[in-house]
Amino acid sequence: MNDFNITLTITDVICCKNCKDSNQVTTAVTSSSQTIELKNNFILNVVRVTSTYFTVLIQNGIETIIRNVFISSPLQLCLPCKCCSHMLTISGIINPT
Amino acid sequence: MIVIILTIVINKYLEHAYNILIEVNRMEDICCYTLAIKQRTCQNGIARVTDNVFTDVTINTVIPLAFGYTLTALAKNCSHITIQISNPDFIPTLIFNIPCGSFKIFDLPKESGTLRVLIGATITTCGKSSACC
Repeated sequence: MNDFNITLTITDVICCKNCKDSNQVTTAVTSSSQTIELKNNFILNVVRVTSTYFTVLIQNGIETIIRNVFISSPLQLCLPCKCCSHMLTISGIINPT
Repeated sequence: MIVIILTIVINKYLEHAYNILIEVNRMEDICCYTLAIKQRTCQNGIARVTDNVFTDVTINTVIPLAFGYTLTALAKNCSHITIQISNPDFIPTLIFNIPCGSFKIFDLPKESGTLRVLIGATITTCGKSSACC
């Protein structure tokens, strides 16, 4: 994997039975093996970074979701969740290495 | 006396290792994977579902998926199959393990919308022979 340095901002929200559980993290990712834990046993890895977008891998053992996130606009995702809504917003700034 | 005992112990270990090797080779000779692949996509507002079952999948078998994606079987093991999913236009080459008798769902990007692929794996006898794996 290529060297990269990206500052990720992730908003992780679960809505269930009139309750909201929200978490926002901003973290620097420099390696594809660096794992970010999300709610509901999902994990996130950045697997490729180009000048205009980066590729994220989100998985929970059964579901594997791969998305290209363009730096010009945040990505909003609805993750599989039993009896609840699990929403994820990912944006990133690519830093020079 | 000690030398004799040591020789007997070493011979026993070698015999055990040889038996394991024979068993692994037998498994590689007669065992293949069966992959059940469901592809679900939405194009121009029309949902399309394609179901395929691939029998006799061995190492380096390449299975073309929709929208330029390919699936390659990489390694053979009693407990899981290692697959590689690639499409240079959209994603880097990625490698996953699927446990035998189980499945994984992949949600893959394409130009607009997504391709959702469900891959189920099981281990079976290659060809039409009636041997067990």
